This record gives sequence, structure tokens and C-alpha cells, in this order.
Amino acid sequence: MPQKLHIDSTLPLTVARFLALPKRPVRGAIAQALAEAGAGDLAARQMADLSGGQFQRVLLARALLNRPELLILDEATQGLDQPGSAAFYELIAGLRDRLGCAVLMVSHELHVVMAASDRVICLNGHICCEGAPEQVASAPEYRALFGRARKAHWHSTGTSIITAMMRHAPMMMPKHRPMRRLSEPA
Amino acid sequence: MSLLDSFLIHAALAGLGMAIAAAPLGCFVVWRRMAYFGDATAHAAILGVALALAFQLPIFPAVLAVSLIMALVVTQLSGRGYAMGTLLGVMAHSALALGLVAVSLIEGVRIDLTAYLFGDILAVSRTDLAVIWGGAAVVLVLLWWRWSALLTATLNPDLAYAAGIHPKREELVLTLALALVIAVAIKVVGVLLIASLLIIPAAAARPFATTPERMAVVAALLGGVAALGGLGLAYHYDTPTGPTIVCTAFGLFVLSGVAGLRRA
Repeated sequence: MPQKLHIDSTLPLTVARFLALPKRPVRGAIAQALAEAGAGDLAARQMADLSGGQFQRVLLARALLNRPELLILDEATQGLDQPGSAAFYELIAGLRDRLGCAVLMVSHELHVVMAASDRVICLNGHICCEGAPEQVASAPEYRALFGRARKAHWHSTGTSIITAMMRHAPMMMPKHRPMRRLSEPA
Repeated sequence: MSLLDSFLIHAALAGLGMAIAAAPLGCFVVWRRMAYFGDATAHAAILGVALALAFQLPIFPAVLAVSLIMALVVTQLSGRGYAMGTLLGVMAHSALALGLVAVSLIEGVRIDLTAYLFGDILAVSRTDLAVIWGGAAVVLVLLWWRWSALLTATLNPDLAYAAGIHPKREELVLTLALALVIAVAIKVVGVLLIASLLIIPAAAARPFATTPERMAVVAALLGGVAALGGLGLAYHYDTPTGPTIVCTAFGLFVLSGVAGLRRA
């Protein structure tokens, strides 16, 4: 799921048609994905008319269409207000439990990262510290970083599956640039 | 069949074929905000005419080749220090001027330049018709075949990459189709007005469209109406045909704009 996606208003595009690009999924898959993403009522709306929160839900539905085992969210709540952002994270947590997919998330929102994830990796050009949220919070590097650095990239992961994956496949993690993938079946 | 019937029918068929091919392609031109791209490519066509006359080549392939080269050059140069608009402004008018100068330098050839600048739809021959409908068919098949990929690449390059589509390759398909439409349309509306057949029907279709497919179909219908209506008006009022077709298209655009505003 990308950070954001610009859709030009010169292009007429309903949400349903957007989700059917480039390949039309099987019948009913779109409605189901939209419902799962909490956007069941948006299918006939124009993409250009959606609010920020609605747009993110549609992008999430798009990622869910691939039946992902791993959901990668790149600062997915950028541009959302506080309640919108909280609602979105709640949705993600519910999806993780219901669909059983791991979640890899890049975020700057420390409180969410610390509250909702199983494993946190703090990046600041390099891996600064990692571990369970409690461990990270008490790490001296973490405290030092948030004494001065403004921008740190946070990765938090959803399940133990992803913890294992991250250990064996360190290239999963971008250095400083956030990755630009929609979703990727693990 | 009398002479009158036959030249009017030829003209009508030429205009229809042209409009049906240009409109869906024009939608992409509008969506990608490359209206001037069509202009630049079209203006280069006059250079193609000059070269064809100078080397005694058939006009259609020469125009096609020069239009294609122009389109490729602009695509390659864009984003390298010049803004797209600047680059197109330079290339479009330089190509037109160069073409006009080149035509005047060719000795012994006195051609009717206005026929190429404004088109000469009433002089369409059977061969021209075959070229127009053949070209239109190729463009439509090309668009039909690549539709999903083209649409995804137009929507967002990152989305295209994620789906295994190369946006640059799709852009090339559009460029090729554009050059083809221009080479075909030179006879119908001429190089100065080709871009209008691409853009105006697509723009007029926008208020009535909820999906890209619908916009393409409505644009093709409006283009067809403009071509036939324009031809009829030109015949009735004895006005130049190409410009009358464009004026008709513009009239449809205004009507659709008003209808769109009233609905909104």
C-alpha cells in the first residue's frame, strides 16, 4: 500500500473500476475486499471525490484483493487527522486478526508503533535498535535518538511470522527511503 | 451514383473513420495532460509532407515517419532541463516553420499548402479511404489490446510497476498510435486542426463519463456526430469543411459543458 497516490480528475474512474485494474478479479472479490477494508459503500463513487480516509480504505481494499500474507503499509495514515488515523489502525489490527496476514508498517507515529506492534525496528540511516516495543523504548539508542533526531523511520511488525522473515531476509528493509510496493504475498 | 453522392459519401466515411479512431486516443491525450503533444506531432507532419515531395515519396509513410520521430524526440527530451510545455512550444512551431520553408524550397512543385494545413476532406479518394479506415482499425486494435495496461500506466506509474507493466513501453504504444492518427487525419482536417479532433470530443465526453471506457465510447460518438454534422453544415453553408467539423465539435463541447454544470 503506497503512501499516497495521485489520481487526476480528468480521468473518470469509479472505485470498482479502479480495483479491477489492470486485471479484473473474480466476481464478488471487489465487493468483499471493499467490505473488509470498511469501504463497502464506496464502490460506485468516483476516485477523485473520495476523502483522504476513504481513499486509504480503497487502497487497502486494493491490497487485500491479492489475498496477501504480508501487508506492507508505507506511512499509510499520512494526511489523515487523528481520529481518522486511529480508526485506520484499528481496522488494520482487526484485519490482521481476521485474515491472519502479517503487517509490516512504516510509521512516524510513535504511540501507535509502541502500542500496536509486536516487534519494532528503529531506523535512522541504519538499524538503530530493535526488539519488542518495551525493549526498544528502554534502549539507550532510542532515548538518545529522540533527544535530537527529528526523523526516524519506524518499522513495526504484526506477527511472529514476519519476525522470522525479517531475521532471514534483511533486504526486506529499506535503508532510508520508504519502499513503494502495494502489497506483496510473502 | 452521381458524382455528388460519391464525394459526399467518401467525405462522410473519412470523417467517421477519423473521429472513431481519434476519440479514444484523445481520451488518453486528455488524461495524460499531453494536449500539446498532439499539436507538436501534428505540426511535424507538414515537414513530412515537404520531405515526401522533395524525395518523391508517397505522402502517408513520410508523414507517419516524421510524426513518429517527432513524438519520440519529444518523449526522450522531456524532463531533461526543459519543461514539457516549453519543449513542445519550441518543437511544434519549429517543425511547422521548417516544413513550410522546406516546401517553398522545393523547385518545380506548386502544392496547395492549405490542403495540408486545413485538410481537404472533399477530395478523399478510394485509396485515401482505405488508408484512413486501415489506420483507424490499427489504432483501435492497438488500444483495445493494450487497454488495461495503458490505463494502469496512465493512472499511476507506480501502480503499473507493481502490476508488472512498464509505463515507458505503454507510452510508446500511445506515441505510435498518435503518429498513426495524425498521418491518417492530415487529409481530413489538416495539420493545424488535428489536435482538436483528438481533444475536443474527449473533453466534451468528460461530464457524461463515470468510467474510462464510457468516456472513450461517448467521445467516439461525439466525434462521429461532429464529423457528420460538420460535413453537413459545410455543404449547406459552403464553408471550409475541416474548420466546420472542428466548430461543430466545439459546439458539442459547449453544450456538454453547460449540461455538466447544470447537473453538478
